[in-house]
Amino acid sequence: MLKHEFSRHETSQSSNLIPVDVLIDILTRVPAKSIARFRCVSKFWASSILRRRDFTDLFLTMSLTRPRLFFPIRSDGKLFLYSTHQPHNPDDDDDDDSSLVATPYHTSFPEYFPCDIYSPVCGLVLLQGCERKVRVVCNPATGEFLTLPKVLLKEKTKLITAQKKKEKIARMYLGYDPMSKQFKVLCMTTNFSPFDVRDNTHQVLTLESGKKPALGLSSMIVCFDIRSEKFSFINTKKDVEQGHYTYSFTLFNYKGRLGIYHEEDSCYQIGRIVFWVLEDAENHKWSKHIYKLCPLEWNLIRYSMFVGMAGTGEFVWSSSYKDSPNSFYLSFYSLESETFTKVNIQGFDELKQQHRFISTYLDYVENVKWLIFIYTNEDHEDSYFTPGNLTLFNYKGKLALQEDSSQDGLMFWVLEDAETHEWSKHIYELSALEKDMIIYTMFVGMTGTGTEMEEELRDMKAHKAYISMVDFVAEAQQGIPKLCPCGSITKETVDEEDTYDYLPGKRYFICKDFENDGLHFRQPWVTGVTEEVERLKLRVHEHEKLLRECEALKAQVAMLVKRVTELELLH
Amino acid sequence: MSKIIVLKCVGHNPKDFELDEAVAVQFGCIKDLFHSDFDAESKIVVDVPMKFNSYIIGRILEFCSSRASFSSDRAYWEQDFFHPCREPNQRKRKELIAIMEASEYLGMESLVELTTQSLANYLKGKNPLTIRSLWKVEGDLTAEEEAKALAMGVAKLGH
Repeated sequence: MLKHEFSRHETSQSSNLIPVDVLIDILTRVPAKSIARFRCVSKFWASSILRRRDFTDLFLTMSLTRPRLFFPIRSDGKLFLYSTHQPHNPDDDDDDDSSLVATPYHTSFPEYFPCDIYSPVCGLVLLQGCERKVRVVCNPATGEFLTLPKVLLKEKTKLITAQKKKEKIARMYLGYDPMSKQFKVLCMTTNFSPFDVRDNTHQVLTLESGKKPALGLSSMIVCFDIRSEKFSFINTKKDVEQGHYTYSFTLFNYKGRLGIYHEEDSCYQIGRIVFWVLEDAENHKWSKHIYKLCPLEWNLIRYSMFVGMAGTGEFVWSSSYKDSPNSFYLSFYSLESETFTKVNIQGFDELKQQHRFISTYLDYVENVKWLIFIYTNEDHEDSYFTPGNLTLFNYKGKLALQEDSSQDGLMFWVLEDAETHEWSKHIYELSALEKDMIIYTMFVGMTGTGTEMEEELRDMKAHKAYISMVDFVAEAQQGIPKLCPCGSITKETVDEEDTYDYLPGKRYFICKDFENDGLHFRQPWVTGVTEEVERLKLRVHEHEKLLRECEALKAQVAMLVKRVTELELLH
Repeated sequence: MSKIIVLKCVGHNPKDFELDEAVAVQFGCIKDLFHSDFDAESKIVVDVPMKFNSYIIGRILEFCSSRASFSSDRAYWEQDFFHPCREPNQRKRKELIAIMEASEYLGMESLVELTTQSLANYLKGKNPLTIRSLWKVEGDLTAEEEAKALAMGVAKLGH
């Protein structure tokens, strides 16, 4: 256990550690790429600092004040993710807005990954499509990804080919509920029948720990509320869809309300910006806004794609294609001042192909919440990254992972030791008949009986007591320990294993019967001696003070004695 | 009839700092005292914990007085806070951390923000090995775990 002490003496060469809460304050201001790198500093940093709930929450809050631009690019069948900070941000100190450099997120995806990416939600992106069977939620800031489990579809039996109705996953949407701080995935399935009647069903999957609109049918907007998990419909006004194709509409966020942007045909001589804002969702009332542009401004955005509205209240268009250096730019239009600003985005030169379509997403926040908490062992890793279905369940009070590969029968891993990340593998062979029974079903979990609840409660209490005991022992570890809580004496050792090149191993005051369960003392020599010295210094100071007072008292006493003798002599 | 606040520092170099109103209102913990009714002539003594020595308090007060007077030196002060972090100056960094803690204790939001941001700028882009040597942290990841962290897409550790 590391001690968090702070030394104020500028001349001292000893411990340089700073309190954890101070460190967290500093780290929330560090960019997410550096945070991901700092996982390599030590186990304590990786587990106790960077994975703390309050740290990730605070980091997200800070990220929301400095949103970024997000550029996913498909090149050579692979996905590359770039980002840069969003200009005209009130928190930005830089005034240099004319050119920005996008930096890539170093994420290497396996080859089977899909590369269709949609709008990021609170730092996470959902990858699907490209005729890949697997769907993945990825966090570019931390480089982690999570394969979503297979969705149970109705009527998926061997007879399905005989029927004309086939249920297929149309699309998945990722949403975030800020109240419960949970990410949810909405999966839309459709049935294709010769009569073109869509019998849509949906399922919602909650990931760990907003309104999602989609422009569905021609005159209606479908809204899915993440919190209540319910659908609702909003009608659009007649003149919104009058004689226009649906693809020339883009939904965007107009200062917290729903907005529809209409891209006018370029055959108009004088350009205008036309958009509708939903004023009243219940009564389906929309307000129309038109901004006129001069020909020069119109030329700027004529062949650009509308991206959306930034948090700072500006409309953004993207030139979308990168044919040559300096050809990719964004145009920002401020509604208040009615002026345009052109910002070049560079940094994509390392991509091989020149003609690349670059999608742009606004208000991307970096989120360092970890998707995966426990390292799985090597044996397991191979199967983790295959497009299989992994399900977590409770195996008699321990965490277990079940993998949906019916070739070997029933296979699952149980977490034996959370600290050392040890898993045990269990395989139960099934007969062909049994395999058939479970092949098209979804693993649900393991049952527990009623008494298990009490047992669990007892376990929890015992566990809590154990944790507090470990805590007390850690607090008690001060100075140079002579006796360990277990009763045996401590001795000084040199750690032979932990040497670094030419430097000698570290010295420790270690319990004779030391066990790494948190209940024995293992004090680094340096810390122990420092603490001891500090304590002794204090005592010495106190004694010094006492002695000085004694001296003063002595003098007083001598004086008093003198006076008394004088008085005695008089009488 | 101005009120006087005295900051009493103990420790190595015990010193008492007298603050006038313009400077004292910048401290969140002292600001409230001005709103209460008390004898205008009396002094208020605020004890500063032993861990904040008088040098640190002195630096903070210099910063406050330059802000209070809105002098052109303010830019210099802000530069002075950011600058040490660009150089590998151990002493200045420790001082910065001390100033950060002290200003947090005294309730000076702006100074806390300034010092935290400058420390964050220093940490940005640093190699984990540098962090280890900086704060004497034990690098206890096994080679396997390091490889896993790197495989997750973190840029190379470098030596």
